[in-house]
Amino acid sequence: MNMELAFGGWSGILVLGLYGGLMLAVGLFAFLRHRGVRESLDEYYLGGRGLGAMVLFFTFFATQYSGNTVVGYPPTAYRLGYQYLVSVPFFIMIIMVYLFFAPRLYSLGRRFSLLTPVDWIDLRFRSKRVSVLAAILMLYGLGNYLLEQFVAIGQGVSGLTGGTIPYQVGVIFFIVIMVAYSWLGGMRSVAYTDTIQGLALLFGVFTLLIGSLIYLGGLPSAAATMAANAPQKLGAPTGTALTTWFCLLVLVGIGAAIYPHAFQRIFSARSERTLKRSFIRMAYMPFLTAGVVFMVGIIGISAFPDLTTAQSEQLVGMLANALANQNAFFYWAMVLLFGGVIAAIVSTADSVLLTFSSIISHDLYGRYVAPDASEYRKILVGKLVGVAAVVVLVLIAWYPPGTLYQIFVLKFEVLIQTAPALILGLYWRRLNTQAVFVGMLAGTILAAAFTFAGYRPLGVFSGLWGLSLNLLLCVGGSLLFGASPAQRERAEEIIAFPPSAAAARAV
Amino acid sequence: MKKRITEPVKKPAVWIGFGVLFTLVTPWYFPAGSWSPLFWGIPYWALIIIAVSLALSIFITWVVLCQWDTGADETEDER
Repeated sequence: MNMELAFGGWSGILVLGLYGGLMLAVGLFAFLRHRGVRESLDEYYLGGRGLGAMVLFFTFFATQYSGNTVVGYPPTAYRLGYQYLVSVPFFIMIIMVYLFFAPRLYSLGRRFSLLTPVDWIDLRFRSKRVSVLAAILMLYGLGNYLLEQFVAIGQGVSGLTGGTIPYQVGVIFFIVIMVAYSWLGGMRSVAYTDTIQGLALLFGVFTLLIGSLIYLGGLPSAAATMAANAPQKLGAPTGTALTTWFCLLVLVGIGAAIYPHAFQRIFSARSERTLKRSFIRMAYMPFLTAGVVFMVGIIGISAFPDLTTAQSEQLVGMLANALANQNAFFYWAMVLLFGGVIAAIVSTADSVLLTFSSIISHDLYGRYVAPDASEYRKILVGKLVGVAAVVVLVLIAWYPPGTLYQIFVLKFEVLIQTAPALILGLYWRRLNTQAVFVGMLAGTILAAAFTFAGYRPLGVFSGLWGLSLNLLLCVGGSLLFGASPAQRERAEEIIAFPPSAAAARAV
Repeated sequence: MKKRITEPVKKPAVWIGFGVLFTLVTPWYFPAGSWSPLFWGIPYWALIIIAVSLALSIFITWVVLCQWDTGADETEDER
């Protein structure tokens, strides 16, 4: 999202400054209202398991929709045309996948006071190998996700301010603000700021769509351009495009639902009712976000025809510039849009950082290094390691390594390998712990190898090949060897549903 | 009256519904590359995909409202 906006400059700096101040104020508010927040893991990382429907909804929203949705999706729609309409259903798929595990997970989260996804894996398998491997995969995936957000923040800020604020200053400014409000109020700060950031993003994309429809032509003129110059952009997908469509539905549906920060949010809900209400709202958001930015990309086809791939990456900046030149309303609306884009990136990054710290605090330091440490100390260690990771990632963002850059690209491919342990573990008593470990490890190695080699047999993504091998080993191993009677009994006690059934059987 | 405890994952209707909608939301059943007729500048197949996507959202709403009640809130209230 590297772009220069002629309309930015000082008005951009004003909006970003105000935005930074507002976020800090929210953090301070959360801190003053909940003084004990840094004394308890539950309070700090899950907002005291008390998030209401609206705040929970926006914090889920922030995990799924980032600044990249606004700036990166329209160029893809521009290049692929209607074949990228898949971006609407793949966001709906995420909620569908949630429904296969969230109900039981929420119930178990309450019963066993679960804090992180690894916490669940540890409860279910009681295996240090499985827990540590899952923690490493999650930290690795989250780290790369954070890196991507930092690069986007820097480019967004320097673009919005017309280069007045250099890339590096933009990154440092927002990281300091983000760490400050996260440290002050933990999950509550993150969730409250997610709400403000989500509203800013929604306002921005709708203004962009309305402006584009008014000033840059609608869908019929875009269709006429495509029919004349590139009819494949209008046509129903076929061959590789169809395989890509299918892969995106599966990979994004499963991958984004089990993003560790998304998974963890299930534990933050105040009640089952609250969680259900948030999911229903989320089921319709793809039309209002992905659908809207998709239309913006399609309108760009007739507004700015014949862009090269590199030029098309600047599409949102070009549209915003064209609108900002129309009148004062759109000028300020576009400044706010880019403020909203940066806000959305920050809101995704803060969620990722909080979950990253929670896995360090609770699953690695708290479980294996110093189980007897106070919760305050565990939180402090999580925060400090989180900041150290941020410093390393920022250095990587500024000085990208010449070789092995793909190490920092793996995200979904790695995270999705934890899915069998997380989801199958909820329902299948015979699930064999060794098979889970071997599947997770082999799936990760295969997915990474295919990604590095740029190998995509049958057009299917590397992450899905890894997941297929993972499932094969995990399910095959469990069917062959089963679980020991002690393991099955233990699994029975944990996952019996409803919980009273286990008690009845025990009697 | 005691409330019914139910999970979506255990309901055949939920699996069938999601299976059908997932199959329909992947555009394999249109003639390759076809786009005519257009409605408001949108190819016919894209409108069908949007309609199926909306049906998926509505089905999700039904599943959440009618097929998901683990009783977690009641347990919470009793504490």
